[in-house]
Amino acid sequence: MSAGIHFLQVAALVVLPAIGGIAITIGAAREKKSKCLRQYGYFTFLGSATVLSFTALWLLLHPFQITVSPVWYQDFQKHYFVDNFSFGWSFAVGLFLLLSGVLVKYEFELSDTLEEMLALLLFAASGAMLLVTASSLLMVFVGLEFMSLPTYVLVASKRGDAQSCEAGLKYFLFGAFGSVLLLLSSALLYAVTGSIYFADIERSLLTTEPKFLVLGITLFMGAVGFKLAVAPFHMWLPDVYQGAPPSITAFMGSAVKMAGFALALRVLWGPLLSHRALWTSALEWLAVLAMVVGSLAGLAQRNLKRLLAYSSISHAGYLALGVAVVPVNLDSATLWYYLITYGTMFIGFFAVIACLEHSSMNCDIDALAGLGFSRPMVGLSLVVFVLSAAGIPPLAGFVAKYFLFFGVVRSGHSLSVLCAALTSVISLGYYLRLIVMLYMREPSRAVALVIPKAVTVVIWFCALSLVYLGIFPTVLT
Amino acid sequence: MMTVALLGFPALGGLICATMPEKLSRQIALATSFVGMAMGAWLYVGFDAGSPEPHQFFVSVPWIKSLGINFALGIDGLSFPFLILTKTMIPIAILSSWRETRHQKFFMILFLLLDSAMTGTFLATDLFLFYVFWELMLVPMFLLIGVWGSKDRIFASLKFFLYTFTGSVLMLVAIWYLFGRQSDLGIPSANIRAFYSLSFPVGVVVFGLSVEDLVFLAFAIAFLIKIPLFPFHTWLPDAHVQAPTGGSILLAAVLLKMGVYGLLRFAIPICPHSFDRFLEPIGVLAMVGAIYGAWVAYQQTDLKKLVAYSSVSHLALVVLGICAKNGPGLGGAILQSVNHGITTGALFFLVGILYERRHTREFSQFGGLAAVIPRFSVFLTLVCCASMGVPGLNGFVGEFLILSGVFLRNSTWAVAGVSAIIFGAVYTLALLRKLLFGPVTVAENASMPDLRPHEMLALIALSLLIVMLGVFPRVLIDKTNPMVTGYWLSSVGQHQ
Repeated sequence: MSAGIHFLQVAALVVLPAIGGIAITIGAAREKKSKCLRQYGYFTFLGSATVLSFTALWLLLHPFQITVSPVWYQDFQKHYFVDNFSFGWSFAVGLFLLLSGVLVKYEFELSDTLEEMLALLLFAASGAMLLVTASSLLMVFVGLEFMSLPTYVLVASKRGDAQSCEAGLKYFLFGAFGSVLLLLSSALLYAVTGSIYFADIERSLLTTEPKFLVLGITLFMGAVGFKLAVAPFHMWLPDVYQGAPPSITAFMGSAVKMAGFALALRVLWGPLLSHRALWTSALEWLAVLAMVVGSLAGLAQRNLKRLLAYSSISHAGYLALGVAVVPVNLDSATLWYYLITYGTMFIGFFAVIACLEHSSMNCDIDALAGLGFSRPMVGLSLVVFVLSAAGIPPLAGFVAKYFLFFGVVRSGHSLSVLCAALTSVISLGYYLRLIVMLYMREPSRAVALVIPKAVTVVIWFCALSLVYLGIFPTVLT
Repeated sequence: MMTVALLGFPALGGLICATMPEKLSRQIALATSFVGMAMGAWLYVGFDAGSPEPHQFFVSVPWIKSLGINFALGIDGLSFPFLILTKTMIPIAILSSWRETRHQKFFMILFLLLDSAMTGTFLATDLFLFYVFWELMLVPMFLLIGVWGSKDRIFASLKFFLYTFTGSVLMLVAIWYLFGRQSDLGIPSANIRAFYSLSFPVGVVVFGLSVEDLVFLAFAIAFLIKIPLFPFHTWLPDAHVQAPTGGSILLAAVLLKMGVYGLLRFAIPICPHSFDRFLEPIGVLAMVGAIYGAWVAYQQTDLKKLVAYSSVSHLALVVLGICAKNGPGLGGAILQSVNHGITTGALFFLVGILYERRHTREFSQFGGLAAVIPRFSVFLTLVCCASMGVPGLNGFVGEFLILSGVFLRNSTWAVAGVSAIIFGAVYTLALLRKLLFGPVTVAENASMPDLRPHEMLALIALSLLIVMLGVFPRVLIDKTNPMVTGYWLSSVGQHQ
């Protein structure tokens, strides 16, 4: 029976959203014929996402005790982890799923593909959770693909918009390439160690010093680099973030990024930890490059979505620096906290962008002109988002950066932290420009910004949680 | 509880202001600031200068236990004068902005937020909390300059933010190092005094500097940018000129003093050996800054820019007093900080009045005002005399103490300091002459209205303070003396 409980914990996280997605898809076909099932898809989605998040949260707080499992199950058990990491990161993914789902519903309300999109979103989240709990190379690949394929489709789902199509194709090609790199590195790891399970790999890597390992690790870094959009693998990110519908970008920037970092952490801080000398400094250099590129290139941007994409790159750089540092003084909870605060900021900001786009304003920085005074609450929320991204106290972004870089400094990498600090100042250049636009410029058009209630709730939730987490950070730890 | 009230009440006032209609916002803000000032007065009475407690009115709530960070507020001899100064200048700033009509509610809320942030910086006895308020202070100031300022306000506000933020971020790296070192050596505690006894690894790290030197430089640069000491002063003229009057007052009176406070609270006690090492360079910079500021001030045609450079000059003298490293020098520096805050605040207030009447800051647009607005002229003359250092007014005592302390250390510096004071008299008298005396050259000036009631209120209060501190400086010196006499002994003694 313990095997059943064991399975239940992971299944709840992975299978539930998949079932929800299937249910929506089936229901969608029927809904088009029957008027009374109009909101069926949306409510199924909301139900699935909420149950998902709360299950993950509950499992985080009350993990079951695992006793011995029957032999026939043990083989399957080796493919996934059941620990606080899994539940914590799954909870975050579930939360982001819920928030971006609301945005998707709002943005695609009048489109006839809404149900399919919600189903795909659930599938993608399911894959993300699979990735987060994976403990074998095979599961990692399955999770990655399960997450990425629906996301490719979602990015391209704005029919008739050439940019959306291009973004989807670009994301697909780059992502496929990244997956190929992952497969190659997995193959090499398997060839070298003779097993796909992390536990076994870890054990065998402790003793051997194989020659192919360098190649395997390099390929893995390439795969991770693509997925996380760390420089110099970041070229696809601005175009994809700009072309995709804002609600999907919100999901990508929060949940997909979270899953990507979970992948990096699981592998690099797991089996590959014993050979850290091979990847630590390389990842540190990539991180510094990402920070520099993200902050400098962001200064030149006029489009809000591209600006946030470059900010995403520089934040990926800060996080990658945290991953590069050996987890003696830094633990995954710090990175989890950072990703939650960043994801919340990202979703909140893109909620506003979704409304801007829907009100047929363009998404340039000028669209924000004068918004601080014409819509004070929206302006205030945007200020909270921008300052959290910049790392100004007392917001959550500052606390997250504080904890992260404190751990890095304690591990001795002060020079990289100095670089991170200076790039923070540079990136402030474009963050402050947004605040300037909000309060110090006159609005150029008289187009009214329409924000439906549900989206307002999302924006408020994100802003308030950033303030709350900034003042009471220990709530999450 | 008093400290929590001091910190939270302005923020509460801001919240009330936000919910009330716009036409009440000025009154609410002013009332809140008066309550704050009353609390400051109560603080003055209740503060026991001779007490052996490290912090009075101490409040501590555990915040982030793993790093030993507490939400801890307290007042000691060093933060006391600056706190009183802050609480006194906020009503003045609000009164100066009484006739600002654009987005009045938001304007007042920002003042109150700034009040809370500044108070928090001086009240914090926890290093993390100090940094939070230090950074937080930048945001309302940035918005104040950027929204309600003059023609080039956005450039000035961005320059202000980015310049000071760079310094802050360097300080943050040093703070991380300090916390890490503390965790390596024992139980982490973010209380400021816990860092005074922290020992650093010996040995040269880079460019002939030890770890202690690097930490000192990181802290010192952040604070010297704020003071501002030459050559880190270039953000100040822009920020002051473009800022609205209330913003300028708070910037000059309080924000600049935070640099002084930071030096005395953090940079010097935590890294005393490095301070000894860098004493000469900083002293030379202070000397140069004092004279340079005065010379450049004399060249200015813009009224506010002149006052900005005069701030550079005066505060360089304050730094010189600190570099004297003795009792009179330090006591004079602290006293002069407070005095400069009051005097320059008053000066910006008066300049703001002129700007509000004529919407120009050029000297050529004024002249002969003494006959047209006599009450204004009286106050201007009084404040300018105080700024020059005329005995009997507050500027003299501070300068005298500083120079006597500096002379004990290095007579060349003292000569330079006295020269700076003389040059200060040059531009201040030129200011008076160009503004007040002579014939009325511009037609519009002939019908300029004299001081309005709210302006009279603020100026009378400031003048009383100026005269009181000039004639009876003991009101302040008595409260700070125990701290001053023990300062140089304790900060070095703990690191032996």
